[in-house]
Amino acid sequence: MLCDDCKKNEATIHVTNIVNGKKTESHLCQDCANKKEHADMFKQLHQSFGQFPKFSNSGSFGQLGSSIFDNDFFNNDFFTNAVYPDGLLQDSHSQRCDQCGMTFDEFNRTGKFGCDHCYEVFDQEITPLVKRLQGSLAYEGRVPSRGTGVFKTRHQIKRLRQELNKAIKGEDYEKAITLRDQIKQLEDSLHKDAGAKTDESSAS
Amino acid sequence: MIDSILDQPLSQWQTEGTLDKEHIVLSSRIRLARNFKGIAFTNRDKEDALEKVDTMMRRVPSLLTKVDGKSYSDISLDKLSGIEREVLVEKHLVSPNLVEKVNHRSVIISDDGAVAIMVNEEDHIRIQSMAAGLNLTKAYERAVQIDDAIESTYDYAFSEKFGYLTACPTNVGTGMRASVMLHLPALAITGKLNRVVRSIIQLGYSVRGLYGEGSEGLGNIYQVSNQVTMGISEEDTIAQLNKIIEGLIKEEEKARQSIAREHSDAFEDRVWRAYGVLAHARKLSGAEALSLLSDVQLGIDMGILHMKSNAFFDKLVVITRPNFLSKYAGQDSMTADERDAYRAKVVRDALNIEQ
Ligand SMILES: [Zn+2]
Ligand SMILES: [Zn+2]
Repeated sequence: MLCDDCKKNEATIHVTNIVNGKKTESHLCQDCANKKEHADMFKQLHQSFGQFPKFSNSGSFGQLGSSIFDNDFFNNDFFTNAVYPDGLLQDSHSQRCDQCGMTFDEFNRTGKFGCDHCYEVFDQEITPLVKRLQGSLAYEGRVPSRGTGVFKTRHQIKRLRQELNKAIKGEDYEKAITLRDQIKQLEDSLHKDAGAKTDESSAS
Repeated sequence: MIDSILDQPLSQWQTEGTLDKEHIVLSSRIRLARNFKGIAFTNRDKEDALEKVDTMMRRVPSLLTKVDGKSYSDISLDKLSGIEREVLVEKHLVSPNLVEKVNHRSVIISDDGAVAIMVNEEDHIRIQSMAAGLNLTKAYERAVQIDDAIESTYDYAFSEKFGYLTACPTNVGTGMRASVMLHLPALAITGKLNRVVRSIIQLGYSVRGLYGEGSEGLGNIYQVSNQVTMGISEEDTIAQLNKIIEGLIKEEEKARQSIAREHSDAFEDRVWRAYGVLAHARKLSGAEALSLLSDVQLGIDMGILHMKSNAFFDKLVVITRPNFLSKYAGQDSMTADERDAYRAKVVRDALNIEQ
């Protein structure tokens, strides 16, 4: 007997299914059976993510315990169904971003914000949402170099501190001393900057 | 330059990069999502905002040339035919999402094809940087160079608390998606792929097919990418993904060894059968072509078959896609039947040259 799917190989796997009281039989070769199982698994994965996104911090990287398949993740009403408890939504129904006109209701429908200012207007709602989606609220990435000198320095210090901890754990004390000096230098420059700013504002 | 992008299956970066000899990792890619300060995001569909971003980005090609000496072309989607736009999607230069609308949508592509910046996609810009084989760091460094150049001229939407602000909260933070495209035929044949995919997903990474969700299994090609953009730096994300990919390569190698050890006769038969169909068939569907090409490539990797060029598989994966094929044939409209016949001919010719 030839395989139902490819009609080329000998069918070695025979499956009987009963759907709505109707019996169907399928005869597949090993290849086609593997393919089918594979497709079913992905279908299941996508479906289960659509309905019940699971978020946990317990993964070995302390991140999402589930997968978000980019754009399609937001296609259903998952914000209203799963991520956002009804109670939290009530207050912000009437609130509107004054830069782009977006309301939080609209965000709930589309899963997309309307502009950078939305992040300030809806900060109260966004903060727990990002925590749930991302498993963390601590920004650790790159920083634009323009107009954010103080922030950039603070970030650099944070990174160096992490390296310092690593060095100490690895008992690399020579490196630790260099890192400590670098951190101190940056901190001094930060204080100087802050001092200069205070002087300016008091003078004006 | 746009013509060579649309007519050549592979870009320069794909042919001159170093592919690993087993051909498991096909390419690495970094994507940075960025928006500009004070301008409504694309989803608001505001004409003035779309136009403003469009106009701002017109200055970017010359800006980038000043930084790296390479030339960049600015391609407005409304100047392309429908087929040409789909070819850009098939070559992974733009997302399907970008070509849904054409007004003020464009893509800035470097002459080596390794950089493609989408304008007015879900975010104002998405900087994409590609490298052959497993080389996320190389791709990241170029993306950062471009990011810096744009940021030196325009203010990005950025907050101390959330990092780079994006339309979708799943991208907020670094806005970075690092992904690696792999060919995993032996894991698929031995039935071990499902288990491996599950464990990667449990680590918080996504696994999708050649053309995203729904294309899983196509040609046994998979993309693995990070999901999280908060609480972790770009460098650490890349380091973790590298570890996962290295593990995945080992699993695929093990599966190949077990095929060679336990099923060498059956496998050799399978490879030659695939070769036979590709070399003689008069009609080939896109999915069938990819599945047979995958068998043949694995046969090459395992020393059963020999081809002249290293990029045989990568090239045919692109050539056999429906829109690229139509463009290749120089025809605007082909029926599915005509396409299947033309596809079989192109594959036959390619095999003749390779042998
Ligand atoms: Zn079959
Ligand atoms: Zn807004």
